Amino acid sequence: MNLAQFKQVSDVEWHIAPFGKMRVPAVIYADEALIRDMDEKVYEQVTNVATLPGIVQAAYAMPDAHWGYGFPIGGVAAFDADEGGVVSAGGVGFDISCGVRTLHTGLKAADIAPLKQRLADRLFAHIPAGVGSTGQLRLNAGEMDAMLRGGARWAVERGYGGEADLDRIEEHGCMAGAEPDQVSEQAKRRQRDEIGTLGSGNHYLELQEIVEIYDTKAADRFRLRQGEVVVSIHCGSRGLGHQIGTEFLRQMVMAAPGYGIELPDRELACAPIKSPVGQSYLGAMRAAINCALANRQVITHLTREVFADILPGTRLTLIYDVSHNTCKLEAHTVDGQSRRLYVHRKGATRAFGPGHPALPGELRDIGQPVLIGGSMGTASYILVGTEEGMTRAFASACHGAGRSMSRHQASRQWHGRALVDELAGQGILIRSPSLRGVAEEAPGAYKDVSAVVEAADRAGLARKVARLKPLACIKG
Amino acid sequence: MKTYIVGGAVRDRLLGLPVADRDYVVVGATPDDMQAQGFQPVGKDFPVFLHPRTHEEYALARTERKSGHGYKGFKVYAAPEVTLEDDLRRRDLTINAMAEDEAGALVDPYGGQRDLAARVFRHVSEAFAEDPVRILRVARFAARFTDFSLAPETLALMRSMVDNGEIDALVPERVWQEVARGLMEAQPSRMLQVLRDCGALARLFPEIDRLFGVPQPPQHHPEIDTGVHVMLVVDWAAQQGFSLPVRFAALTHDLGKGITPPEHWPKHHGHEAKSVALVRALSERLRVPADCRDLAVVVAHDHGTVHRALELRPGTLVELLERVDAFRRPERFEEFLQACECDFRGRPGYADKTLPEMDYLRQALHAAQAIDAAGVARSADPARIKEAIFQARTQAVAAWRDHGGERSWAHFPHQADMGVRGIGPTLAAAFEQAALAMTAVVTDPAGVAADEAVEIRCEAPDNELLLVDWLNALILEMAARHMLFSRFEVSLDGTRLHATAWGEAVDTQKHQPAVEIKGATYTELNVKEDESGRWLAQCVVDV
Repeated sequence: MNLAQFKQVSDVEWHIAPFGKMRVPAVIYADEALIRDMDEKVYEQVTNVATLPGIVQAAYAMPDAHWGYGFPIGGVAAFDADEGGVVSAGGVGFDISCGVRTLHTGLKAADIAPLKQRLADRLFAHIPAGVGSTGQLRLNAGEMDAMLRGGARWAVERGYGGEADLDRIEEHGCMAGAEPDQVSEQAKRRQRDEIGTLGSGNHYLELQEIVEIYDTKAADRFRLRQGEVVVSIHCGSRGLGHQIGTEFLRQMVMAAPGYGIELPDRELACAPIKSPVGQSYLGAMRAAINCALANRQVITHLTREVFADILPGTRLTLIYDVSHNTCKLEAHTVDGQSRRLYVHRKGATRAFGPGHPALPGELRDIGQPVLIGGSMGTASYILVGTEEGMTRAFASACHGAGRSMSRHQASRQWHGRALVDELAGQGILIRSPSLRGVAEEAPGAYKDVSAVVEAADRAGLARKVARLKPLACIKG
Repeated sequence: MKTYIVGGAVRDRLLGLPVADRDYVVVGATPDDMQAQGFQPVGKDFPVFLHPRTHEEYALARTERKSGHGYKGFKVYAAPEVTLEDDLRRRDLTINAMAEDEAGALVDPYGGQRDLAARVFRHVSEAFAEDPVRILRVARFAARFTDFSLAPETLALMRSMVDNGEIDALVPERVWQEVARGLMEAQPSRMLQVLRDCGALARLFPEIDRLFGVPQPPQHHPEIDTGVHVMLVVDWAAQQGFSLPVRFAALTHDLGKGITPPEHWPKHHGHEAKSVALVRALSERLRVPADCRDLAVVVAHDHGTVHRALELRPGTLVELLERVDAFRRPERFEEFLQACECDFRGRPGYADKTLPEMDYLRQALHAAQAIDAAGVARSADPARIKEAIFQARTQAVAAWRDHGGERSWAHFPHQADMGVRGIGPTLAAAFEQAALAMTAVVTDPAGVAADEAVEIRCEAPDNELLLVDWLNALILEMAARHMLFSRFEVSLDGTRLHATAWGEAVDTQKHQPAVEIKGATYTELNVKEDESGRWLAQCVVDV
């Protein structure tokens, strides 16, 4: 993007003063190189978001922002229901509550080296991944509703993991206010046999080695030790979330004019939080959050089964579980006043700082683990929420690398088989049902995740704690 | 007498680049000494000799003194007492003023190595100002050595040479020679930038200089500034390794935009015709060779037409092909398409977009070429042969469009996801093709058996929402049934759609499905009928 469009506040903070119909400024957190590389559409989209009714403080874009639907991916915006604030299906995204969780294995990378191949093969065989794959669970109508209401708690109650897991999941594993009745039959139909499946695209399960520690205090509290192995799972609410996104986007497009909302872009479709459509969406979207939490919980269980089989006695403990595509009601201090706001995070991670009441007791004084997934074959990072981050972008940080090249271009530039061999040469095993899918997800098609994390750290959104290197990747 | 390798060969060796030509300087010799050793004299103005065996150039060390305007106004002084340092001192840049003796030892009296390491173009001495060609040479070097920058004092000196009129003494042939070489370098925009920075662009190419600061519509030109666009276009041409005529056409295609009255900005109606006149005048002034001029003229005239190719009537297509002389010179037609592609891609965000117009025009040419021109000519009224051939070509293109070219699908890129596009003679056909494009996001539709039929119905207030609903209905069936579809029959009743999709269950081994589609979106959503009655239906799908 052209830097002349911004007022530079620091080396990682850029402002766009309100113009035209913007109600608030737009703020982008990124260094100069990242912002130069961003698509012009990010500028257009973040300033469009700033025009929406009831928006509070500013429309934000994270260092990994790129061209999304209505909202930029990597966009954050908060709305006040009492001031005509809106909720936007596009502002949450199609893959509702897509997120990452990371589990500690307590094993040393050296210890699993001889077993890596077997682990990769068994994980790939045991965890359904890719187009058309189905899980072991078949949900009848009653179980579907129970899952949509209970989230990860529903899964734990059915033997998938334990109570301790719930402590380490946002919302304690169960999003309140979910209304299964607001979820269409079509959405439920798409989900019937998809619980416990990874999906496709950029979703993965990865074995990773902790290769660098930046913050010993936080790393100790998260029990991260250099040379040890963790498992990260990146996936979302599967077909159910996609269908809810699709249906409510259309409903909001149709309903917006009736609410007097002028849409600069149809994808920005939204409805007042207090309207029937807004309330109905919030109920359905929260159900989809529970679906994603249940899904990651079941996959966690499948992962534990594989480890128990190959490395008996291994305990996989959950470090944390974060969601990227959500709209949540949270208390934030704005101009010295505490307000309850509907915070949209589209491709952004919540990053609560120390002392936040939502954090479990043993993490409360240090801050929330912020898990940043890399692309297949590149580094991932663990960060921690900070005090100062609470006042920037409503306690939000980046979520990943972000694409720099389209799938189209990537599949022309790389060959799946050659890429798998090349990564194997670097000690990274790839298992995937589709070689073309591998080519489309080539590491070179993504931005440098390290630059994104560095910018987030420098901007005070979250602080770097550890860097993870992939050892094996099950790609959906 | 001592011999040294000098100039570019020394520079390129230090940069680790391949060395093509070697120039030698001989110190302490007279022309008679040289001839006595079998060297052949070739220089008219300077004492230059060819080696009897290698035929490489050997020049006697010399000094030059300015005696008038322009690059020919020099007095040359060559004598045995002229030192190597004297000879190097008259050279343009420090990086070009180094020598190597026969033992390989480097002679660098003016800091060439230092400037090479710092990636700086710096003039050797004030003598630089004596030859205005050096302004063009430095600009050309900037296009070749893309990580070098110009020393501020050298830029200031170049500016003073422009201001005092020295630049105006350049003869047209020499300007063209240097600019043509600069266009063939890695990043020609850097040449334009240097010329612009020192003020030479306005003197040598006022019609290009004028483009800077002229706005274009941001929805088609995110870069807005026409000058920036032209720089991106020539750089794209260079990246593709295109020929000099293509690069010159790329440079000049939008000249007309420079004379749009500002009150019409950012629109440039009719700029093509103005470009043609300006390209002709510029080519005349600089004695641009005919192949470069002719291509630049047709590209200036028709670069807009190409981008509307899919909407053109058969007759209009044949007119375009005839105007570009595609029937007689198909290779020129290829160059024409290349230059138009540069125009398309030379905009931020367009590097990766699909450009179906190119293949479409090639196929149209192919269809029109297939007529029996001799037969048509024999049976036509002798006074109207040309028209008869035109009619036959038009019919051939129309027939091709009705059969082969009419139904098609394509993908277009989106940063994180993918665009699907269907084209057909009816709205329903375009919807069918768009569905096929969507299957192709996941797998090759040719590998999906049409075994099982699924009925789909939907309804929407307008055609665009109907397309999204149709694709989303298919996505739901694909996901819920774990199926892929390869055949579609759509019927429409107003904005009510009834369709059958045939396909089979997903088989990971057989289909190697790349990615699951989450939903069809309103991004880049467009459903329209073009002037020739064909329908297009497209949007981005989230994967």
